[in-house]
Amino acid sequence: MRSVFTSLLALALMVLIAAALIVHPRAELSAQASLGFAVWRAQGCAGCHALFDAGGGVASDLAGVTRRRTIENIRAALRDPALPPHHAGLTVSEIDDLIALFRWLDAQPLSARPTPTALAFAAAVASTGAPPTAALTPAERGRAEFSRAPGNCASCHSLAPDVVIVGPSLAGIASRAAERVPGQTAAVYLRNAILYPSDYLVPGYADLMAKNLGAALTVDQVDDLVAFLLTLE
Amino acid sequence: MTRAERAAVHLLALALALLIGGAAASALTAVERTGTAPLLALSLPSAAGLASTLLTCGLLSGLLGGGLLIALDDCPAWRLSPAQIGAMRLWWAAALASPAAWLLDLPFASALTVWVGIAALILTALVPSALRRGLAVWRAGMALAGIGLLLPALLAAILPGDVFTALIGGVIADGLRVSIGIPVAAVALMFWLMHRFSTVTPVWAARGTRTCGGLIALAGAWLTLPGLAAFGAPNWMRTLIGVGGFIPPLAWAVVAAHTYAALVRSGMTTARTTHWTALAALLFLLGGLTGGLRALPEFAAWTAPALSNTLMMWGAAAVMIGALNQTSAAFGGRAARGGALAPFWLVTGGVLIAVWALSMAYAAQTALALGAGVGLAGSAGLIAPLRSLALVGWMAAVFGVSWFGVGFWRRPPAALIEAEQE
Ligand code: HEC
Ligand code: HEC
Repeated sequence: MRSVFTSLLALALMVLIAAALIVHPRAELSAQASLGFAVWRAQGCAGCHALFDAGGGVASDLAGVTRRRTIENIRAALRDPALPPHHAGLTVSEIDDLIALFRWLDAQPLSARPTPTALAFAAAVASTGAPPTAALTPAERGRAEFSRAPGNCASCHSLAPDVVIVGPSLAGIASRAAERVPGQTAAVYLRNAILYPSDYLVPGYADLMAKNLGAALTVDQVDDLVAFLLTLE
Repeated sequence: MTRAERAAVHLLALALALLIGGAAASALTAVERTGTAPLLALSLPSAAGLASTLLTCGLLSGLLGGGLLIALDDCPAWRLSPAQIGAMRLWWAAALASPAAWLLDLPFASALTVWVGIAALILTALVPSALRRGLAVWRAGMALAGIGLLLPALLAAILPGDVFTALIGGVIADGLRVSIGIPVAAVALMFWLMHRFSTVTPVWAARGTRTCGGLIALAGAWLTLPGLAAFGAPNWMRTLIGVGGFIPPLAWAVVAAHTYAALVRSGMTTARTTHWTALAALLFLLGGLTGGLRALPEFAAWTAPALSNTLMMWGAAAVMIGALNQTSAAFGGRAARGGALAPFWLVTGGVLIAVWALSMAYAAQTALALGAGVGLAGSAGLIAPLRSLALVGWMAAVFGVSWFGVGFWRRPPAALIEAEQE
C-alpha cells in the first residue's frame, strides 16, 4: 500500500500497452486507403471536417459517412458547388482514394471510435509521406494546385458553371479566355490573369485577386495551373 | 515574494491569457459551425488546431505554475537555479511560439508540439522534489502529458512510414495527454488547493491525491481503449472494455466525493477557490460520465469523444483558475474577492451551455442520420440554432475568463507590485 498511485498508474499504462500490442498486428489498411490519408492531409480536409473527432470543427465528422450516404452521394458532395469550394478541384483518383479511406474507417466497428486529436492525427498521417505527384500530367498537377495553398484558387473560384464565390466561375474558361483581351491567346490571357490580375477585370467583378501570386507560386505551378485551366472547355 | 513565487504566478497568468485565447478560438470554430460566415471559415482553416494548441499550452502552463506552488509550499526557501530559470524561459518561448505558429498558419505549426513537450518535461523534471507525495502525482501527470506530446514525432522518427504504429501511437499519445496526464496533474493541484481553502489535513489531501490520481489514470486508460479497439480488437477485448465502462464515471465520482468533503469544511476563505474547485469537480464528473458511455456499444454512436475531452479540458482549466485565485488571495492581490462571482457564473454557464448545445446537436444529427437517413449536410440547417447557442456559450466563457483576467491584471498580488517597484 506504499503507493496506490504507482500501482494504479502502472496498471493503466500496462493495459494501454497490452491493448496496443494486441491490436497492432490485426490492423490493416489497404494501399489505396493510405493514399486517401495522404490526400486527406494534403488537401486540408481536417481544417473543416473531423475524422473521429480529430481536427475539424467546421463541418461534419466524416467518420460514418459511408453509412449515411451512398458512394455516389459522396462523390457528388466532393464536387458539389453549393458546398465549400475546398471540395472542388479534387482529381478523380484523389476522390477514389478518399472513398477507400472512408470505407476502411467505417468498416471498423461503430462501438469503437478512435480519438486522436488534430495534432496527433496530423503527426501520424504526416509520417505516411506526401501524396505521389510525380506521375501526374501538368493539367492534373494544376488541378491539385488549384485547391491548395498558396494559390487557394478554389476558395474564390468554383468549377461549376455560373457559381460565384468571390470570383467568377472558371467553368468553360478555356473557351472564353481567347476572346477576353484582343491579341492575347487563351494561354497568355490565363497566365496574365494569374500573375497580373489588375490588368484586365472581368466585367462586374472587383479587383480582389491577390497581386503576389507571381511570387507565391513557382513558375512550374503557374504553368500547371494554366494547363489545367485550358482543359476547362 | 521570491523569484520562484513570482515565476509560479506568472506561469498561471500566462495560462490565463492562453486560456482566454483558447476559449475565443473555440468560439470562432462555433462561428464557423453556424455557417453564417463562410469567408471567415475559409480564412481560418485551422481554428480548431489553434484552439486545441492554445488550450494545451494554457493548461500545461497553469499546471506547471501549480506544481511550482506545491513545491514552494513544501520548501519556501527554494531559490531558482540558473538551469531552472533557463527551463522556465524555454517553456515561455514554446508556449507562445506554438499557438503563434497556428495563428499564422505556418506549415511547421504542428512540429512545434515537440518543443512544447520537451520544454514541459524539462521544467517538470527541474521542479525540486518536495516531501509532499502530491507532488509526485503531479510530476507523473506532467511527465505523461509531455510524453503524449512527443510520442507521435518519436514514433515517426523511429518507424517512418508505418501507418499503424503512427495511428495507434497517436491514439495512445492523445490518451496520455488529454485523458491521463492533464487530469492527473490537475487532480494533484486540486487536492493541494483543497487543503489550502479547507480545514482538511495535509495528510488527508495527500492520501486523496494518491488514490484519486491512480483511479483517474486507470479511468484515462479506459477512455483511450475504445480508440485502440477501433483498429481491430478481438471480441473478448471489446467485452472487457464495455464491462469496464463504469470505471471513468466511478473514478471521477470518487474525486467529486473528496471535493465535497473538502468543500463542506471550507474555512473562512474569502477567495472564490471553492467555487472554481466545485466547478472543476462537476465538469470532470460530466466528462467521466460521457467518456464512460463511449465504452458501451449502444451509446458509442451518440456521445462524441470531443464532448468528454472538452469537459476534461475545462475541468482542468477551472482548477487552474482556482489556483490563481487562491494564490492572489494568499499573496494579497485583491482579484480574488469583490465581484469575483460574476466571471465564475459566466464561465460555468457558458461552458455548460456550449457543451449541452454541442451534445444535443451531435445527438440530433446522429439520430437523423441513423434513423431517417438524412446526411449531415441535410440536417445542418436544422441544428443551426443549437450551434448558435454553443457560440453564445463560448462567448460567455470568453467573457467570463477575460473578466477574471482583467480583475487579476488590474490588481495583481500586492507583493508582486512591490517587487516590480524595487
Ligand atoms: C472550408 C471547409 C471545408 C473543407 C476544407 C472541406 N469541407 Fe467537406 N464539407 C464542408 C461543409 C460545410 C459541408 C456540408 C455540411 C456538413 O456536412 O457538415 C461538407 C460536406 C462534405 C461531405 C458530405 C458529408 C455528409 O455527411 O453529408 C463530404 C463527403 C466532404 N465534405 C468531404 C470533404 C473532403 C474529403 C475534404 C478534403 C478534400 C473536405 N470535405 C474539405 C466543409 C469543408
Ligand atoms: C481572393 C479571391 C480569389 C482568389 C484566391 C483567386 N481569384 Fe481569380 N479572380 C478573382 C476575382 C474577384 C476575379 C474577377 C476580377 C478579375 O478579373 O481580376 C478573378 C478572375 C480570375 C480569372 C479571369 C476569369 C475570366 O473569366 O476571365 C482567372 C483565369 C483567375 N481568376 C484564375 C485564378 C487562379 C488560377 C487562382 C489561383 C492561383 C485564382 N484565380 C485565385 C478572385 C480570386
